[in-house]
Amino acid sequence: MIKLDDIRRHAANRPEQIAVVDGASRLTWGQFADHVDRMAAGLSAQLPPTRPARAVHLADNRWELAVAMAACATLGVSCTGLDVEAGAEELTGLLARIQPTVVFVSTEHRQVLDGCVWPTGPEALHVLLDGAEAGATARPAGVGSRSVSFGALLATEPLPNLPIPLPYESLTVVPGEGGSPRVAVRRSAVEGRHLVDLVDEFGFDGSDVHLTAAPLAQPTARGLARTFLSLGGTLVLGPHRDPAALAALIVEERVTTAVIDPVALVRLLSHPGSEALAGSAQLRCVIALGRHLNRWVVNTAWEQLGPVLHLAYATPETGLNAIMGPDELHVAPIRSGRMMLGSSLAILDQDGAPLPAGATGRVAISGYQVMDGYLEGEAEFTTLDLGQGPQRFFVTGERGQLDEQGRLVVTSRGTEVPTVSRNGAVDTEIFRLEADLLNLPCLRDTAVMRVDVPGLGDSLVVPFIAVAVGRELTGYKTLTAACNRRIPSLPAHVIAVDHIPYSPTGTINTDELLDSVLPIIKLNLQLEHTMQQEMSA
Amino acid sequence: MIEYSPVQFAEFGDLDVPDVAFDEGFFALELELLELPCIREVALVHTELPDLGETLLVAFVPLSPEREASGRRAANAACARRLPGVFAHAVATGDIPRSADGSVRASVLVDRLLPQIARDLTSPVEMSD
Repeated sequence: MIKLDDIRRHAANRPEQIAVVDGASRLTWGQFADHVDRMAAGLSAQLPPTRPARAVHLADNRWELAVAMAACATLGVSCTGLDVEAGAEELTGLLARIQPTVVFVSTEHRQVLDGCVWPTGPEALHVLLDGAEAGATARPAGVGSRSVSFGALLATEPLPNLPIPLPYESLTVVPGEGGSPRVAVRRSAVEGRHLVDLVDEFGFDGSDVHLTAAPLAQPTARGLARTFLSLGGTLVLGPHRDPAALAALIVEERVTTAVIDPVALVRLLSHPGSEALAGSAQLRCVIALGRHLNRWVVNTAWEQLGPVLHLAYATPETGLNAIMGPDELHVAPIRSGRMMLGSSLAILDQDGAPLPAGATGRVAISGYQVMDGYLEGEAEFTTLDLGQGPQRFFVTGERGQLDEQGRLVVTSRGTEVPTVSRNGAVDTEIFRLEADLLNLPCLRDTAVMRVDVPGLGDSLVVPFIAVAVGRELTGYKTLTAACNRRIPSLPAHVIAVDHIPYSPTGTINTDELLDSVLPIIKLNLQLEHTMQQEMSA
Repeated sequence: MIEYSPVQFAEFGDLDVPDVAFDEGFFALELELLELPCIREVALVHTELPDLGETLLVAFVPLSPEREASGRRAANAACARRLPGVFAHAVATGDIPRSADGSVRASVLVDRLLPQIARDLTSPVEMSD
């Protein structure tokens, strides 16, 4: 993230211009400089003596996070983003590996963090980004004994001279299949070179209004946010799970460039609010990770956003290496891109020798963005001379080729096809349960759905239509008994409904059905809980 | 466009045995599904299901409820072309659970789809397929 010296430079030139937008909160460059100055001073005073000092964040995008990241960059403390949707087990593994000295967390994700216990956890400083900190006494035993609110740190008086920044270190989480992520380490700064290359490649400048509709934990989103702030542009933090609000924000804030995560992009393009964006918005460049996006996204983005979509090939180990612009997207294969400035490509055979264009092999990437290694475990590197002297290449886990047009085309993974392992016993019982329910004479119709949502956890939701008015209780009892008999390990929430929505081919519209029944189920559970409390009292 | 060499199929019964032909076919199928313009979103998962054994599960989000049948036909045709030796089942869904980088949360997806798969296998549509 941007450092305080750069923020002060922009603040001196344009103190009243907006630097960061987060909903109704708007930070001018002057306010941003003041907040980062105070935050850096507060953090500096609270930092435990452990070195290297490392920070992690577990929070959705918010202006407080931007301030915290800038303060960390100023102090030379790496600030690693954790996936807010990861489970406690995965987070615990990562925290044990990274051993953070500071954890920035929002109220929404605090519960899952409190469920993580790692060896150095008790010494870590927890910073609550939103709301007031209740104090150390409210913390579970052994979990982050030192905690402070963002507001308290922001009240710190700025230091006349900030401490000398710690030696550079940057950590990036590499998502792993099967829930075992790794951590990529870089020990030399690449931000300056990356900024120059992005400006050369895309012509970004300080007049741009940049929307980040992807978690700042994601390296590409974080890198682009830093780039635009460094240029003196405006950073808009977008609601990446609300397509209507996102479409409105693009127009209202006059967004010119954006990085949008693949899920948010599909939702935005599916929403009627995006249909007029090509005509009404100022968008000129939208960057999205392209590995999992399909042809419909490419076609629809062209129609609804205009010629702006750039699909990126990026990995946590090698950075943002290739991109496919809108002009070529329609004729290029999915999962292809042109190498960007500062990145070199080699396609290797099984012996590690470079292959000619057109041949398929392992994809290897070289360049200043490539990591130094993993925090734990070996990484596969090779040294090749492709005519520009020996270069160090990171051998990725993917296979691909350089096609006749000079594009990198990723064709497959270098590993075997991953097989999703299942709990066969539960799956079998779900199959049997469906067969059981089809034969129940007391129901007109029913639908079994397995959900894992806050408030219910992993459970079955079973709406049904009773065979006649007044027979709901019979249906309820029968279904509850059937579910408990078949799958006692999963709680079943049985509920009578008037209608079960189907598609024309007979697929249950689960989204519509869940939208109608989940609020009632949650309300019933709350009532039940209240009654139990009253009875026990 | 990339051309893939014809795949020679071996035994697919044992999931523990690495099978290069299967791997190539799977990834080629994944790319082919991503190229289909008639579906909004798609995910391909290799798993083992009760009664069915080794299964290729294609979860797709149709363009509209009326386009669900055509999306299913296109997905099934791609599976039959690329990996005819493995049972494949295409299921329409409203949403595919993904991580921030777009990768599919495969276990969550299968959990969600399993009741519908069980239902599909006893429905007249599946029988006609």
